[in-house]
Amino acid sequence: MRDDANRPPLRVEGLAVGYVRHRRPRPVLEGIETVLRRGELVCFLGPNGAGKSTLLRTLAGMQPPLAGRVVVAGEDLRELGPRRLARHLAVVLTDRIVVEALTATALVELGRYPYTGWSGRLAAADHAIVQRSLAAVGAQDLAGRSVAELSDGERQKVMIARALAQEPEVLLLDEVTAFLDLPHRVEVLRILRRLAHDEGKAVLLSTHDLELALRNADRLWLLPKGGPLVAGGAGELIESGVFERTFGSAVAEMVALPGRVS
Amino acid sequence: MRSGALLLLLAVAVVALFLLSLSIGSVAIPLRDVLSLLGGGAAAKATWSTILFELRLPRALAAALSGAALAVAGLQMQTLFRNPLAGPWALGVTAGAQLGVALVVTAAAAVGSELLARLAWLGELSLTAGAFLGASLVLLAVTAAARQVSAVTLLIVGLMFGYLSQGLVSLVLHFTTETQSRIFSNWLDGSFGGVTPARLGVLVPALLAGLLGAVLLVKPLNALLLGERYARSLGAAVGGVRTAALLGTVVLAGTVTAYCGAIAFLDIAVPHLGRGLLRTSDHRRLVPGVALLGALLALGADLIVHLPWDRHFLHLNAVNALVGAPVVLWVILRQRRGRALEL
Repeated sequence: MRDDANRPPLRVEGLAVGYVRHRRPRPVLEGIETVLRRGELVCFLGPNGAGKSTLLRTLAGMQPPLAGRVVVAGEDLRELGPRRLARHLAVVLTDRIVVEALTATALVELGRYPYTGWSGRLAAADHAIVQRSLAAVGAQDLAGRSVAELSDGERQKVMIARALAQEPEVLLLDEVTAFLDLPHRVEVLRILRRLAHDEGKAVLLSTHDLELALRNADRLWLLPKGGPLVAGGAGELIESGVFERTFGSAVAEMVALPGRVS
Repeated sequence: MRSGALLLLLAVAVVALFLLSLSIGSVAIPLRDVLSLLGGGAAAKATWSTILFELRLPRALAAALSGAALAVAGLQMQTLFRNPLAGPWALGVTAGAQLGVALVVTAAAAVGSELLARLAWLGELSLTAGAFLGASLVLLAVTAAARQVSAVTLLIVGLMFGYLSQGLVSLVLHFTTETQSRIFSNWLDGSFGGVTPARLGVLVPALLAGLLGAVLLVKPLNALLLGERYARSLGAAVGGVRTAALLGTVVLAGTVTAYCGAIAFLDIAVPHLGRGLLRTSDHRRLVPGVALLGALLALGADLIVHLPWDRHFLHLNAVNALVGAPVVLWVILRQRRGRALEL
């Protein structure tokens, strides 16, 4: 029997993801076996159409698996239920937030949803966690600002703070750096690294940003078209040719240039 | 606590306007006598009691509750569809309810009105049922369309549907007896005046139930501000919440329409006024705030219409339009300054 502390916060067993069309399962990816560990930032790379978003949605419980299972906090995702799942796993998406008259603090307070009663009223402890979450992403100065007036970068930081307010062990982020300028992309990656290393979160970020992924990730998930998903350090993935299989030889040569990979 | 004080102020204003609308009319009843009658006492003139309890109290109650109901229904729809231009009247749900009622009336005329008169309560219920059915059908169509088209397109579709339904209602009523269609001419325009004490027996509990439903949904409605995917990831049972909120909208808008006709603009405009006044999108504040504001505006509009004018030219919906149309225009035009909902 494994100790609770050693149990990976997210484990994937024999997972097949995809869609059901005309009552027949149409798998995009099959036979996925992997884990997310406490305290690591994993960047999830792969060409468009390989099924990154489908896999991420399945891991987040937004889409049912076609086969196999996703285990969060030692339990099958489907048995965990939405409220308990929300206490263990939080997501940040690229969905646009169109709200008026909502402050950044009020937005982060929504992260306490799985802990509050019927009206969503926050206790003193909840307020403290909200403040801590804002501080963790360096967004204290945005607290009173209206979400509608924030820049894309500021808004993503607040959305990450909202996810933190759920006090999750697992943080899944889908392309959240996609619309940000370079300084904000770097900042978000730095925040995510810190959340993994200092706060012990298991962080998975899907991204197209090869350069930043290589420099910041503790491990990579690479997903070539048609699969399978391969996880590992940048160096070993380049040497074993998975990088070339995923992105083609030009990209593989570029990342393999001396001095690029430590 | 700023918003708490504002809510209290709104509540006081609603009560004041409510009492005022009991007192003012073609026959003026002094406030002292109104209060005495409401307290179970007597008034200076015996006829005042009849006017108060048979006419003005049902009317004022209908106005206050209907205003609250439509505003809250609009708020729910705006959050649910993430569309600032949504509301039961704006998107044709009210028109659907009206068509449902008109069909029930015609069917009743065909069956024979004596039978219906003997089963008066059944008649009331069948009116409400017709309204619910019509409202549900349109709401289902709107829900399906909301994913396909933009907010402004949906509004135009809703308005067109409203006109279409109005035409159909006129057509249907054209073939009923003249007395029946005359009764309905008032209802077609939208008015709180047709609500009798007996009808309050259906109207009040139905609207209170719908409003209570909205109060119970404040937490998931707040989560839905972030969109369905985020709401689900926070642990909200989005499917159930959607169904409950849509059902609540049918009850609120359907009941109001069954007894007061199509009341315009309150549904779409009041939620924006509420957000502006309370400076929040938090439904814990907005639901009570918007309900009070809706009640206040409906009572105010009704009072303006029924001041002892020499001639009765003003219609309720005309007054509503004077308040509501500028608000809707402001919401649409502001989009251009980049705050944007997609057109």
